[in-house]
Amino acid sequence: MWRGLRGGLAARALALGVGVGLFAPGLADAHDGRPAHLEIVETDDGGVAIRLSEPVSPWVTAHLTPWLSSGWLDGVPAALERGSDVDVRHWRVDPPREPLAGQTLRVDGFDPAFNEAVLVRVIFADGTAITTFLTIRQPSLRITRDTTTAASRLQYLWLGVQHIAMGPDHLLFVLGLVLLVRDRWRLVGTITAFTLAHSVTLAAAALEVVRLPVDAVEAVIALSLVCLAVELVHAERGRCGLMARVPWAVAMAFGLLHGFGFASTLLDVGLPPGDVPMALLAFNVGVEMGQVAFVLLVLPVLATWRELVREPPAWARLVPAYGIGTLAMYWVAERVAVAL
Amino acid sequence: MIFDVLPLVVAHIVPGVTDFYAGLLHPLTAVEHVLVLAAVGLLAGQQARPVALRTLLLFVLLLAASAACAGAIGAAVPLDTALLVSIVATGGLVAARWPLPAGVVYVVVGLVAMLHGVANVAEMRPTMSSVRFAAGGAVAAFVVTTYALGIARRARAPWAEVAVRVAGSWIAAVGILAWGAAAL
Repeated sequence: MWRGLRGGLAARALALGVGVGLFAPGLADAHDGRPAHLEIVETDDGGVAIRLSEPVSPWVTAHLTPWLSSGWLDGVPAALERGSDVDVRHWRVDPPREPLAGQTLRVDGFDPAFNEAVLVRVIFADGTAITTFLTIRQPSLRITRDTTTAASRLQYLWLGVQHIAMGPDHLLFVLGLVLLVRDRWRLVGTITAFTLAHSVTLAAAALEVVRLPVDAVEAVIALSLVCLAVELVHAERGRCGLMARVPWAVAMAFGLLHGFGFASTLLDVGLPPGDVPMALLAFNVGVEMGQVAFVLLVLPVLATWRELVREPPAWARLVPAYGIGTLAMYWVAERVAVAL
Repeated sequence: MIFDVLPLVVAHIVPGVTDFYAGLLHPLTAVEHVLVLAAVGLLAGQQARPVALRTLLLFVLLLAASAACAGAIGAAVPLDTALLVSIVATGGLVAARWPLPAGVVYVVVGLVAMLHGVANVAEMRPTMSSVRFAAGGAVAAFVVTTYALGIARRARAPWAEVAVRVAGSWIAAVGILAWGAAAL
């Protein structure tokens, strides 16, 4: 018993050390990676409404400067809203003498020290829309209506891949499932159930059939990781919880939750009018591609590791579970604080 | 440059994760690091199981520790020639497949790990957290080295053992060519 207790303590200490070391310095993070949003909309009355929403923090003030070749953005903004975490600038062009299509849009002021991005969305009066990103490497674009549907779908596919790749919480959940479910076919079933479930809620949330507060969803997603970590600890100690007995059912339940998280990106970007089903499908396929690629990356590493460490000590077997749990609890606290 | 490979297009990204990903991507997008990670994995895979495991752990932990320490004190040393030498050395050891004592393998791999850890940090931006950057680099190193190690350990047929040694010789050859090109 003492050995088991010491083992658990060692695993917890190691996981806590890694968690604190990794994330404690991040408490004072200046840049949290949120992109700025620039929306240019042709309104029904023939005018143009422009809105730049830029993330700010106590350490970072708004510093991006948008520019249009017509000079519409050269003057001071018509309105400025200062929030605790975002500054919003509004311009109004009424009525425009030049057409919007054909103009060059540029954003100046990217900080070279950070990988900043501006999500640009241009909506023409007839409902056609362009969605793209400007970065320090590509700070300008020529506004045109003739973006092909295929290119747009490819963008959504890539967005899905990037979302899963840049979402460590989703990836850790998939890793947890891979660690928990050792049987290959059960793993296929579990991952499929997770996929089906998050596809349903992704579609429902992206089409705004169901609306949930993003901050609360993100907090509960972190909590789902905690539950998975607890199940991993139980499984390593020989206790079979619900998740170990029917992993597909639990994965499906949590998948419903993660789908809302995936949808948050789509809600920010928006779906192209006239091509909603295919763009949604492309994004979902992108998420799946990223997920499958991650599983295929992890499985050979695990196989080699298990071959190298045939009889790991009890404490070592608990390290992944406590590592996932520590990070997840940190995210729960952080996200609950944001949600409140 | 590598920081532009993955632009931040995700709205609800986990804070601080960009430093981790920058550290993760750097060794994967730099040939001089990938080659050494592969060579160290192959070298470890040619050893007996306990030595292979210790070599892998030693490499990843020392790489992470040296990167974190170098980042914390702001050491940015140009190590291009040393990196090329490490490619030649590790690739050459895989190709030669001498029956080295475990201690020699640990010393060589330890030195290479520290060298690459410090070299990684030269690409880190001053505003980044060295701990998270180093952690990302360690995960990348663990994954690539484990892949190569797994390949070498499964290469039990005579032709497969030769193929592993050929791979080592190619790695060493690339190092020699790059070294020669840099000297010109």
